[in-house]
Amino acid sequence: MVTRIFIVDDERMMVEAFREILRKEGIEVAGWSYDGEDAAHTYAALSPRPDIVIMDHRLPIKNGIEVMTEILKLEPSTRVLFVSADVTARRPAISAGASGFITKPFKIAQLLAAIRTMEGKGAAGNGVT
Amino acid sequence: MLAILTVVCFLGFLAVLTVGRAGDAPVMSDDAFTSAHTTLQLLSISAAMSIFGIRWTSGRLSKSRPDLLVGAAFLTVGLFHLFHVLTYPGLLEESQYATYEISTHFRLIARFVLVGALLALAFLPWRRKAELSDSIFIVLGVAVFVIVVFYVVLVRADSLPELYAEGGGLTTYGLAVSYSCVGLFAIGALRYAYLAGVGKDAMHFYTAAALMTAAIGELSFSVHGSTSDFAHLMAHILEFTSFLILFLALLRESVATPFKTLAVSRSVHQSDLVKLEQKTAEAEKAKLRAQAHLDFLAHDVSNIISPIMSYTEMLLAGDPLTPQQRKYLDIILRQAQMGGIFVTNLRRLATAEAVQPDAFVGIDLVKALRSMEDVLRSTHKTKTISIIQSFPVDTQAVAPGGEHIEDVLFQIIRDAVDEVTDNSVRISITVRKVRDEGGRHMWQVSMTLIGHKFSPEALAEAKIIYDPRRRMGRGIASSYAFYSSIVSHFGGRLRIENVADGDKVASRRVTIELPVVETFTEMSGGD
Repeated sequence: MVTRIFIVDDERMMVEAFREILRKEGIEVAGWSYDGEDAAHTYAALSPRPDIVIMDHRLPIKNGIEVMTEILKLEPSTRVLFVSADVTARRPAISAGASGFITKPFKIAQLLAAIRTMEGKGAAGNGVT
Repeated sequence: MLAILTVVCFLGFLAVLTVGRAGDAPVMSDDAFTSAHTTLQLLSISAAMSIFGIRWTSGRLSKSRPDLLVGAAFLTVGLFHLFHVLTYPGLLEESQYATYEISTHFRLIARFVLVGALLALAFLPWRRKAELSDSIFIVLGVAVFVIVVFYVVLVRADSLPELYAEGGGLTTYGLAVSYSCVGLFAIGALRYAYLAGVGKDAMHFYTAAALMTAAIGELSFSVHGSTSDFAHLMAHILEFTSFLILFLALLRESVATPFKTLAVSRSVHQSDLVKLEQKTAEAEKAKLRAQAHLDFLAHDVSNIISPIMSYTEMLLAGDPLTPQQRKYLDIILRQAQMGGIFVTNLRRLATAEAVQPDAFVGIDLVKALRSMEDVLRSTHKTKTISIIQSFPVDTQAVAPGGEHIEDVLFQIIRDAVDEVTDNSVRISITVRKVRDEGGRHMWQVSMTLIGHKFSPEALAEAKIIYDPRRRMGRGIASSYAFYSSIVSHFGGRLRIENVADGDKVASRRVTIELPVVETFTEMSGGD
């Protein structure tokens, strides 16, 4: 089964980079969003639901943890991988249910390793890269 | 109160002019007057000596030459008034020196000494501080002056002009001397009234009142016809009143001044305290603003660098590149990565330094290190990670720093695992309690990456301490510079070294020592 990923980041250049990296790896990008409020709505409208969400923390309107909380309420099996420049968000994100946390800037290998780790998990688990 | 007293004295003088002068009639018998005169003079002497005591002592303590001079003047005045009493007819009947002439000479000289000292005090600059020698010279001066006057008035009385005309009051010479004295008192009163108006100094006002009272008293003296008439009696009452005004004013000032000084000092202190609090609040706001700016800067720079790194990596992994293209892309990637690490670490340090070192936020080192093992294994599945732990048994290893120290520990271990290219990673982590050079209990965390040592260059770079006052140069890429600063912020220290284990395997070790905290509150996660 092909992994489907939803991207949430307010930096359009970053979203483009994620899409390019994932496309090259043959990973399907189910959708993307540039702000917190739109992200929750867009995710809810997707069918089937994405397996993994790549989530930035500092977003307009709602932050990444708030969006993740809404997503996990809707679909508890979704794994959320935080990719953020805000290192202080690591602990609260993991505590709130994030499956992983990568600090920007990152190496592509780090991102892919985290995604592969999550693909292997049936349910959300804590991991930090 | 003193102002009212002055008014009363003035009214007394008017009474002298209108009633006393009318017939020069004695108001009491000579014996009764002598008793009243002696009593008033003894009271005046007491006041003069008290003023001398207070002024002289405060002059010595505060090294004030004016105070010493005035003190000495009142000592002289007190002595001459004593001679005036002792030579006053009727007290010592058998003495050949008990004459109105001699007695009045002593009194008038005392008046001139008093007004002379007060005028000198009012008109001279008095800038220099008093030395010990000043006190000695003044005392010697007083002694010499008193002896000379004593000798001239008693022994060489015949050489002095007569003050009294038999049965007719003061002679022309006596009146001239008395009016001179009145004039000097009046000048002194005006001068002190002026000073009181300029400086709003109560002591000047009281001195003006005393001098005016003395002037009125001297006027009363000048108009007396017989020694027991009302004018003569009023002259002595007003004379005593002027001493009393000066004494009460001085007493009031010597009691009130320390309290005033204290109040002013307290007011200044409170004012400074308020200013200090305002400055502290401003500094705190400025610090928070700077941290917020740094936070946004670091965040945005990271977001800018991330796509650069990703696209560069994709280019490197893409179509065949020329060696030169590959070299340039490698440089771009490495520099972007260094910039990213620097900004992240700078932000990490700023966030940690925002926490007060003595804030009650701790970390259980053992618990934190144990939880890292699972995380490392899940994120580095391609590697076999073996962690040899040696932790204290049945006790928490609590140190300050909370999540900031946890972050540093995790980054150090993760960096070590990332840098090992082999599939097998062996790490030894030891936590134990030690004492530092100052005898403080410290938790020592030693993290050894077995079989891998720092290159000399990496070791030298890792030992660079972050210092915002100077350029970091090559050291900016070293995270240890920042880790060390964070550990130091929480009262600890970080050491980096290459070591040889018992089996002679070269290894790299990072040791962190942090103060032991007995109890703690774990930092709650924030957004």
